[in-house]
Amino acid sequence: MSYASKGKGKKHRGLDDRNRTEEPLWGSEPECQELIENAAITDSQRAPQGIHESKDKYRSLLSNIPDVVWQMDEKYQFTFVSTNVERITGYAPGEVYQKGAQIFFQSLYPDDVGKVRDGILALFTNGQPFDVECRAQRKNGEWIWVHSRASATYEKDGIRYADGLLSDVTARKRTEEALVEAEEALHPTQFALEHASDAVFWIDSQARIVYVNDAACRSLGYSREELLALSIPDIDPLYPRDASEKAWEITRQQGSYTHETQHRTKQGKVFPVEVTSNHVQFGAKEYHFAFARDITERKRAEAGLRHEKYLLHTVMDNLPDFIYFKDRESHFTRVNLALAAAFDLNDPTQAVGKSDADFFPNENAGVFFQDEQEIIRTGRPLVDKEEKAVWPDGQTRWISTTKMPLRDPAGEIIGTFGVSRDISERKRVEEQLQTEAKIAEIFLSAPDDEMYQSILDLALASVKSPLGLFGFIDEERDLLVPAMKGSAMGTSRPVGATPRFRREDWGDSSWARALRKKTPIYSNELSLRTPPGHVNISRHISFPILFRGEAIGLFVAANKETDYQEDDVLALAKMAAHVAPILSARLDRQRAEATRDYLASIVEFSGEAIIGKSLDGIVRSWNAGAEKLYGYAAWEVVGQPISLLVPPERRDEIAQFLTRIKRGEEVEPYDTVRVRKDGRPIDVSVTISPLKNALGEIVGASTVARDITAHRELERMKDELVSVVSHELRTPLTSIRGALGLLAGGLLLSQPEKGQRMLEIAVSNTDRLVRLINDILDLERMESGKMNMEKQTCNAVELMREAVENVRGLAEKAGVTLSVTPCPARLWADPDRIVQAFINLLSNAIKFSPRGGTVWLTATPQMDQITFRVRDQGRGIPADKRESIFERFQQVDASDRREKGGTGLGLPITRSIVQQHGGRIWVESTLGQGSSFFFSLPTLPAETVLAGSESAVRKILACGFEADTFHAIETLIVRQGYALTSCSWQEIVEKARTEEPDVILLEYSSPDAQRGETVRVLKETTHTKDVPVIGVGGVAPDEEQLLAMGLAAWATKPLHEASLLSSLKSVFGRPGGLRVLVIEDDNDLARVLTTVFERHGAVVFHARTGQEAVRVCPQFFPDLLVLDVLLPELDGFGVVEQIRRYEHLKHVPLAVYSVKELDDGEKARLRLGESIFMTKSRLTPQEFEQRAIALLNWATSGQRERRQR
Amino acid sequence: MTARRVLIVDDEDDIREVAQVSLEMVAGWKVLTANSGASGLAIASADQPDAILLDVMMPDMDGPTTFQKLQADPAARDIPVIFLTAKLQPADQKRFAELGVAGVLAKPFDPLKLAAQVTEVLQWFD
Repeated sequence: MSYASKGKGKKHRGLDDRNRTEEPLWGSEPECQELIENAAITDSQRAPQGIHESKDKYRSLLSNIPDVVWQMDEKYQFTFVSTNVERITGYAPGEVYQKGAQIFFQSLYPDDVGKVRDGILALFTNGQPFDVECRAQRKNGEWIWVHSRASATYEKDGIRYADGLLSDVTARKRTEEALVEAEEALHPTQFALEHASDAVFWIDSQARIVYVNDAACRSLGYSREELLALSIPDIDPLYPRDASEKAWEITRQQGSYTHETQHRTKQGKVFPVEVTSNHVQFGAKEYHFAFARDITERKRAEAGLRHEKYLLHTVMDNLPDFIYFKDRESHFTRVNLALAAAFDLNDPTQAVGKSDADFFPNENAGVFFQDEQEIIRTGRPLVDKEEKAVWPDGQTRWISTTKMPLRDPAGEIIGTFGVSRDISERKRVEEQLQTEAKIAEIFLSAPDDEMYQSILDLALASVKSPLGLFGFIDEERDLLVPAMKGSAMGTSRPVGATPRFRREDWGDSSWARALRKKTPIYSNELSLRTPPGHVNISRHISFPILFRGEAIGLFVAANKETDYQEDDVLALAKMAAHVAPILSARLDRQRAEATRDYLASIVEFSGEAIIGKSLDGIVRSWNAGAEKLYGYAAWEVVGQPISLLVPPERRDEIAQFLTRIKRGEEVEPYDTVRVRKDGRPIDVSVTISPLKNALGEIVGASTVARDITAHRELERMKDELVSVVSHELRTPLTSIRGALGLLAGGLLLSQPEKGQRMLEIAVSNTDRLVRLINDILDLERMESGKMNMEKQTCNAVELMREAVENVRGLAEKAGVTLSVTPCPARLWADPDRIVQAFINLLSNAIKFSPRGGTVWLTATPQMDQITFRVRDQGRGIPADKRESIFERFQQVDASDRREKGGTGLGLPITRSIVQQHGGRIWVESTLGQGSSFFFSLPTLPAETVLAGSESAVRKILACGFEADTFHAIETLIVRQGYALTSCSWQEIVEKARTEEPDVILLEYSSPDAQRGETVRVLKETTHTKDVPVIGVGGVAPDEEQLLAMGLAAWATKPLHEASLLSSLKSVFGRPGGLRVLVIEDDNDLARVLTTVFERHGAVVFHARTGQEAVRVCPQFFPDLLVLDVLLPELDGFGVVEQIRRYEHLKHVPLAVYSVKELDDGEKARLRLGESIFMTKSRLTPQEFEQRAIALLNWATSGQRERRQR
Repeated sequence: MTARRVLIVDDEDDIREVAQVSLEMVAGWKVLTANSGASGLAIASADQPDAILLDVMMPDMDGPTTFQKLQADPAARDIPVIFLTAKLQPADQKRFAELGVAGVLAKPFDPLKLAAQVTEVLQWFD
């Protein structure tokens, strides 16, 4: 068989001419054998003979040639085509077998069809070699140039076949069109190998290269001659020299062996190749017929692919987002680690085949499925959809989801893939911010009442409750509820006032417990404590609003349609967390404002002058006290330099003070002089303190100035008194010291009569000293209010009688007659002191009376007082001395002291005694004719007696008590001015008739059958039926029982003053109405006060003097005392001192007002129960009335509280 | 110690008596007494004592007034005057010094030393 090349002669690049053969490429085995043999001749001597062991081996070999090898029968059916046909034409071998040559004719360029058909016809009919280049269309529509050739036909089993090659020559056609023809005139085998696009090597068993093709030369950069001198290790740096035997072994057994290695070009460049070695054997000689393909691109692509896979894995496994792929039925085909973890799966593959329904509740899974089906249907992605779902771990999470259609390379949608991100935290923060913003806005912009209501609405909405309240804790720790919701609750709210729940009244309701324990409490039981008329509370929750560990407010929600659960607690907790800081700040601000107003009013109404000035000494503020002290109004002074007030010689002080203030020092109370507006200098004590702004910087100074003129005067008087007293004490001491000194010196031993005289002087002066000291101490105690006046009801007659008895001896000695005219009157007095006053006056009168004279003691009763008179026939007192004799050591004549033995303190003491009893003392005198000393004392007049009793003293009849109990009652109440009589059960009815008691006390602690009968008789007897009866015993009966027993009140044993007195009070005191005792000597002011109090329903008693007040107070049971400090007879201090002696009056609220500012010591002396102090001059009548009303309210609430206690 | 004639002016009888006994018995001086400023002035002017012991706190005419009247009397002007007083406050002492008296002695006094104290003051005055 011959092969005739259609092409022109061509410079051969591979096998030399010797190796050319006319034999077909393959066909019968001998032909193949010949081919190989011929080829092997290229390297001369080693070409084997029997290379065709198996036809399959060749076919396999041929498959590795880039060109398509084909075999066709005479009917134009392809009987073989190498598998690489698909690479060139796009048609798989199967398709080729099925369609035969037809496939070519159909795909050929129309112009070329003829020559191909002719060529093949000629081949089969005439044996002409077929060699055609033509244009053909690939399966994908692309036009290429193919070169197809076949050299001859042959017959087998009666059918003719042709073998041929087909190669893609498009590139060559395009670039070397001109050369192609010429270079094709080659030996078909060599041609095939030469033109194979892969490098082809023929290697002997020593790895020496015996043949290379053109492609090999090109790829390695060597000439053919150079390569034929090399062996494989020269071009393959990885060639396994040592293991080469192994490679041979593998190929011997398997026929071929493909591996990847590297080739090195002549230039040293190394590139990856895939080498397929085929084992061929010619006789004993073995060869490798190897094809090497540059796989740089493939490697690169593979590396790229690997990298991309790596990236994909990295992304899938590390992203916290959930990534998933699903098929068209929304089954997972792949999920990432994060999603697997969220599904609680150990391995992402466990998700494959499952769907969302396996992990989510139906309502969530359903939505996901719908979304995906929509994507599959429309091809439109779903972007950033925020959705909430309940996850397999039970948590509700928000996710943001983006889902896309998943397409195959052909663009068909085969499923979806998506990325979801957990945005629960973001959602939470967003919601929180929204709620916070809303709450802050409500707090900022809404008026108070709306604010609380709006917050409550929010809170109730969060727990789906129709009823509830929102309250806060005020500074008194009570709960105030400015907002309520719900019809019954709403109507129970007093209009215009914020309901206040006093802490002591909280009880143990669940909201109170929630507040106390600082923990939410909820209940889903019907509340049994609901007040009548209130809507039923079927369920409720109380949530305390805590801030910094303190409960500052409260949410209560009620009557949700379903049970309250932890979710509701959480919802309210959220609300509370938002509300707490804002509410706290708001309450703080309100308190600060209140405190500021309070402080401002303290400053404004302080009696002290309080002046603010800047650091340059300019007056910035000026209170009422400053106006009063300096005479300038605020508008005259503010903006002026402070030096306006400073006398020129003291101007330096200001600069000095300011320097110290700037250093942050305080100027301690400093006595200095300032100038009033009228130019008068005044002594002041100033305290200057730095004023700081909010940053703590010193921005000015505050000056507190006090008028110390009075203080100075007092100091002077004190010094003078000390001087006088010390002089008075030294005077008798001088005589004593002198007399004793002379005696001790022994100088008088020779003159015993003189010595005796000195002893007498010492003795008499010692007596005088003792009297003096006693008097001084008495007077001091009395004037400082430290002397206890043991006051009781006294009879004036008895006191006068006692005093006269006392001085009778003195009078007789002086030869003076005493004349007494007693007058009966009841006095509330300390009898010893009154007798002392009488004695002082009587003994003075006796001393100054001439022998044979008379001293008269008389008494004249008036309306509510009695005036005593002590008259003598002495020398009289000059007019200018009539006042001063009542001062200390102010005898009319110093010689009086000597002659009369007085201390100079008798009259001052007498005056003090009288004043302490609310009385007055004075003297009338005519020189040479005598003097009359008068003093008046208040009596216990009928008109001050309460409850219509005739007597000033209430009479109490105590019946059936044992001696001890009776004594206890006596001790407790006689002191309070009650008269107590005892009687037995037998006597009671008779006694009750004769004694006319104001109240009857009955013993109830021991059982006694007579008692009920006794009470019945008392209640049926005309004289006694209106006399209230008080039972005294153990456990108190209730009101109804009392009534049934015919009792007005009950006193519980063991008896205390308080219980006994309160039972008496309940009997004597008129029901209702606050009882106010106004102690005021100014009748106009008293009338104003009385009117105001009466207008507010109070029962008012007006005492004109301190004495009267003291007398009335124990039986009036006042709820409030209104006390003027300056009173005739007994001043406010005296009144308080007296009143303090009564157990039941010790804690009565007291309002004191005074002309002058009281200091702390004075206030302490005036305090009873809750006490407030006011300065008269500062109050206008309107203000006074306002204060009085406030006081009344204050006393009323106090009264209520006391009752509760 | 020279024998002297001293006038004691004091409204307190006992003090006057004790002082008199003291000066007479301890120093052997001749003692004149007056129970008021007014009589003191008269005696001083008439009897010309060597020195006057003058009480300060006296009714009607107190010590300082009496002293000023003595100063105004040419016959009594040169007689040294010593206040014998229980007024011992610093303010009093200052006032007395300004008056220009010869000296001030304190009550109570030691009767055994009174004469010596008077002599000492007079020496200073001389």
